[in-house]
Amino acid sequence: MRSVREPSQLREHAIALRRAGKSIRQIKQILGPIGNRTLHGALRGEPPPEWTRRPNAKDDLRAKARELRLQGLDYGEIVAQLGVSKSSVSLWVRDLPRPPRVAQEACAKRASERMRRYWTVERPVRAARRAAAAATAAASIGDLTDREIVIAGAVAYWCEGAKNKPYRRADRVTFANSDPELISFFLLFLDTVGIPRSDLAFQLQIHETADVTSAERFWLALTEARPEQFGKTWLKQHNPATTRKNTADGYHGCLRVDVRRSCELYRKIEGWASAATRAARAPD
Amino acid sequence: MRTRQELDQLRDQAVILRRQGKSRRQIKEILGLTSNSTLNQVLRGEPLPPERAGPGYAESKRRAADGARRYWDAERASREAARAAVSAAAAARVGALTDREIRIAGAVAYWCEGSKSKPYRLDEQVRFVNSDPALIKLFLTFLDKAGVSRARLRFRVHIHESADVEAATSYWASVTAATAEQFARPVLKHHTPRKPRPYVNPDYHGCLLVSVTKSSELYREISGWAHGVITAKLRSAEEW
Repeated sequence: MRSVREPSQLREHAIALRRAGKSIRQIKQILGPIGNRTLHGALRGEPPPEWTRRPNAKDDLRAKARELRLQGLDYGEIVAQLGVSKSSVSLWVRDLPRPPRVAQEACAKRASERMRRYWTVERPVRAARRAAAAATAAASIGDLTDREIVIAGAVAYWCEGAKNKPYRRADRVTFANSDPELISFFLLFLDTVGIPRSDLAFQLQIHETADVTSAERFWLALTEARPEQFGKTWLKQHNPATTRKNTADGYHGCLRVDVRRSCELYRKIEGWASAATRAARAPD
Repeated sequence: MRTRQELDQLRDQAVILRRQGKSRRQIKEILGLTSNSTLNQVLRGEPLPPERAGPGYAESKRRAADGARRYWDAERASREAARAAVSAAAAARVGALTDREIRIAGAVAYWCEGSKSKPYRLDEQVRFVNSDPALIKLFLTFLDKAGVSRARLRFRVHIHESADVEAATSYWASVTAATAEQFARPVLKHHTPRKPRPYVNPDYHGCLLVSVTKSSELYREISGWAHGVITAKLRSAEEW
């Protein structure tokens, strides 16, 4: 417990030390535990010694910050310009009048501008990170054995191909898709199971508003088929109120692949797919 | 196109021939007609020829139909068996799948049926919807092998409001072996058929949505695997 001192005695003592050129911290050390409030109260009216009024390391920045604040910048903007901490800025400029409120539209515009700047930089970074993750996973697959192609092809067929229904038995291999890679893969699957390319028939199904001729050329090149193998292109009537978004350059419509005399193949695919989907029972 | 006058002329001739007992084919030959529809048009209202009007005709039709039915009753089962045998042999040849094969199969299934990020809508969440319980099971096994804990899965039944929602929910709960808390409120599809359905499946259970929480990393892996599979080259060839 600190000794109780008479205020007048304290003041006398402190002023004597001050006049001897001691700083506040030095006085506190000499007098023992004493609160700032008490000491400052005791020294009120007594000018500090000249040597304590040394320049601060960031006096120039401080002046600059005050100048910027008077121009109406907010703390964040001053921080961005001067590269100092926000708390320093706060200490330096908090006595200045607050700049007038920015109108809501201007504020929103500023925020969206900042957002845009942020994402212009961030978007490619994230896209690259995503692409790298996917590329690593893709590389982990490597080449496939014929068995793996049969399994993958049968599963793809089971998802995207035409299947028998309780009310309609067809036993025909028909596969339709808009994804060129998936179509290429299905053709590789058909090659693997020994279907000659001459047994294939194709049909393009596409919105009438799309570029039909270039889509036909696209699929012809992709499938490496003869033009006779392509049936008449099937045009989807355009709905003017559409909200569909798949209308960009990458839209080539859907390609339907039919395999001639494919009853037997259909039944095999059914078996392969059922084995693959029964994988739940597979041992490790 | 024939004028009305020509048609009337044709009608008179055809009716005379018909009453003489000529067959349709004979009438067409005599009049130089190629189209059945024209013949139908000019003979409309004319009674059936005697060989089709008598009780013998109906009888022979009935017998032909009976014959066809008998044939198919015997044939259907054997064709069905032949068909099933091909599928079963194919399934037996594939047999059990290795972990790598499950990864390949599951990634391809996801690429076909799962939700994908689009150029116009970046969305990297693993969501898989299907009505086929076999595919749902494949996908769950695939997630197990990919190290996704079952606790991270959420389910939702999407079904027509006219169906039995309760039964479907318990059906999917038994397929997935999930707890009731993992099932969100079902999404009901309004049922307003403009045309009668050709067939209503008695086993209709709707679709099941499987989603994985905190799955953007997993999405990238799956999309990579799928991409790897569908752009892969054939490593070895064997007769399939």
